[in-house]
Amino acid sequence: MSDTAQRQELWGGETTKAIGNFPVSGEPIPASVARWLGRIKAAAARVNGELGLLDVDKAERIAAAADRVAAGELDEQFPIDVFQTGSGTSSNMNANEVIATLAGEGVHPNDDVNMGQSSNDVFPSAVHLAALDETVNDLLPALDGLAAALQAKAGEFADVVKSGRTHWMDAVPVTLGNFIIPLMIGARDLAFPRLNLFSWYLFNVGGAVTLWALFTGGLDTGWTFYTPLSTDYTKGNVVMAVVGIFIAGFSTIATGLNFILTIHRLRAPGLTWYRLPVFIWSMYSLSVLLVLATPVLAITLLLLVFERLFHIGIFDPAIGGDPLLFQHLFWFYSHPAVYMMILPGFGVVSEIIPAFARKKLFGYKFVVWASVSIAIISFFVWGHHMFVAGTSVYSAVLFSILSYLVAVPSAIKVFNWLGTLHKGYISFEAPMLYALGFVGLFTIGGLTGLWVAALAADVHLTQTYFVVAHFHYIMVGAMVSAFFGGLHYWWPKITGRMYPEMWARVAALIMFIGFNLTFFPQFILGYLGMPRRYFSYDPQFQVLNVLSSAGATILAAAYLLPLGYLVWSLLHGDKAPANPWRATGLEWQTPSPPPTVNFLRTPVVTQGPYEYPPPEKGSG
Amino acid sequence: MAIASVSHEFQYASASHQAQTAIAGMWLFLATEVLLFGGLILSWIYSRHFNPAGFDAGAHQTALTIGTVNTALLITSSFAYALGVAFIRIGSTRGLIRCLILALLLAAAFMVLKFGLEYHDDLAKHLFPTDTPFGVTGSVQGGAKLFFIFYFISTTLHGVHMFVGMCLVLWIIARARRGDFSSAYCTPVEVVGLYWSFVDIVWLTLYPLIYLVGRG
Repeated sequence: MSDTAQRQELWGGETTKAIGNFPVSGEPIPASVARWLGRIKAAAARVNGELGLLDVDKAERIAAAADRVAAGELDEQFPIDVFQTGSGTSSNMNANEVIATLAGEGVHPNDDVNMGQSSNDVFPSAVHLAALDETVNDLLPALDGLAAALQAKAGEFADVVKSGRTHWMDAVPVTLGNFIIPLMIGARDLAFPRLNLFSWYLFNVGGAVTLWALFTGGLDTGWTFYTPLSTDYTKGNVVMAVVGIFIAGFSTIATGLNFILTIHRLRAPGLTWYRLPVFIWSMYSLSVLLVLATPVLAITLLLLVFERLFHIGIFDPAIGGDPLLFQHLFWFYSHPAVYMMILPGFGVVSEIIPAFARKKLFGYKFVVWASVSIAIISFFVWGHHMFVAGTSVYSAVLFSILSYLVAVPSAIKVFNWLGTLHKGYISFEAPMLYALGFVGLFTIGGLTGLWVAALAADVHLTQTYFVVAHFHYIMVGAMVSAFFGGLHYWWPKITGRMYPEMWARVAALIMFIGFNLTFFPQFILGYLGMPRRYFSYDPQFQVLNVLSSAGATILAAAYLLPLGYLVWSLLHGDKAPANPWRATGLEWQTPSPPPTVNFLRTPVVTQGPYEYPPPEKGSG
Repeated sequence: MAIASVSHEFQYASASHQAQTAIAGMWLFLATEVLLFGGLILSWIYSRHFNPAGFDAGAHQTALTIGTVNTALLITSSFAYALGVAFIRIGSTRGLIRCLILALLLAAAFMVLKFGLEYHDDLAKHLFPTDTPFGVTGSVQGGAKLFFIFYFISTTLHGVHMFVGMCLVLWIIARARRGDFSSAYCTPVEVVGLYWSFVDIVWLTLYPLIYLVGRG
């Protein structure tokens, strides 16, 4: 087989006519069908030869040529458009002509190769055989591979996004928030300390039950628990997992309630609402979301459990129920839940940036009300998760417009942080590096949010890696940066020890690089159409996927580094002064770590939260 | 404890500061309860909107008399509790205890009527949604099943709240007998009272949804 033969057109007049007459899609018949045409033709020629219907020499030459088609050497010789009317007849003739040409002198496509075979027999046979061939040899092994991989995964808890999510949602509030809120408002404790301890127990019980559900049966519904998969079809441990989330939900409600009452009732003398640090405003907005949205999830899960247990319920269309009702209720909780995760980040960054720019926060009231309005708007955008669920086009347009609104307060925040940096006396300690990383990642995540809020663009992008990249930029990139920023910023206050600055800066930089390398390629993958949640992908996506995996490795190193040096600093770090950053918040006016009652004498507040004097010459 | 009642925990500036915070905390908790039942009632109305005939057929099977008597019992129980609060505000622990026992007995009567009698009749009439044959037949059967799903979930959830409330009232009675409360300090009495009234208000929403709307 020479290269020149490949490039020549071996077909004849019938094929040329079909190509010219029907330029429909430019998509030829699949190569596997062409090869099976070859196999059929070869077999037919041999049988005809044995029966004496065809000259033995001719039959042998035809069979040899057809074998080459079957072997895939001549895939390019089958250019007929698959969508044309009668493509079966034309493709049959195409095969006849190609094989006749290859078979050499005296072989006629119709009289010798075809010999009265009907297109209605040959072509469907080739299609069926090709389908069978690909099913047995490609699809089934791939499915076996998928089953094996899922089997392996069932043992891990890798697909338990919800549990991770619930914990993450509470990570900043429960840890940093719990410690910092009373300090920042000059209070001696939270309003209800016993309720606080109780919610901590509940949180762990709920988490344990959920984990137990995963280890004793697993969960394959994803974190969304969509009906009817979760109620009728899955064999996973839905009821126990839901009970765990239900319990953790009570903990969430109790925590939110405690924070709201603490901020309302226990502020230090002189600490008016407009003198509160932005972190407190963020935690307040977050708590309102926790308290208002979580009960709706609780009742939704209760309805789900009923349906799961009795196999009949209000999401069951067989008796007049509506599966979409579940999605509405679920997202009414879960969209605000997304913002619950990012709101503490706004607060943390609004503390850090003024402290390391030695400047008053630019546009304090705008930043405050941006947090509050993000919390309010979050209750009116849930429908954008359901653009392709079959809701009415009018509701989709409305939710699309409402989703755009989120961009306004988000942009206000970013501009105000930049305004704070402008002409500031900036220094790049680790918390500041994390905070700046947050601003960059949040900007990318926020702007791509506009793409997916746009109704038409979302129909293309939904369920692709674009969406995955978008929400990871916000929820992981930005929020983990903010969490580590806050952890480093308040580490001396919490532990009374300084962390090693050099290591912390390195970790912050590695995290920024690793995160972008992991998730930026996913924007491109998704834009090119790679779906999320798929086991395998097309070869053209290989390079970007490898880049993403490499980034994830770097990211893992960045997450592990602080674990090492922070633990080290607990034992060997320098003793922290009361105010290592020369910051203005009330929490810095008490010793590090603070005494049990937080403040030995209750502070009196006489000015706003970010009254940073410009540093003296030669310092800072 | 009677002496400790006028003192306050270390994070508060005064006893009244603590008392007001506790009452505000209960109000906020009740807001979360509104959203819990709100999600249920919203789903109820939504499903009814798409199956009005089935919901009406289901409602016709409910026991209007028991439901109405129960409504009267609960309202009276709330009144008794409120009277108890008024008694302790003028310093009468004895009045408080008597009123709370009355409130508790009325609630117990509610529970017996609801879960002893009414549930028993409902199940005998094959009205549990998974029953085959189901008590309502014909084209409205699906909607009637939906109605009874809401009926059983909401009344059970309300019953759980009633039970928790009864435990709390018992706790208040026990503390009152120990002499914990006075006209100067009765915050727990007031906080539980808010909850007790709220559970009644939930019933006042469920009562028309279950017994009245479908009979119109």
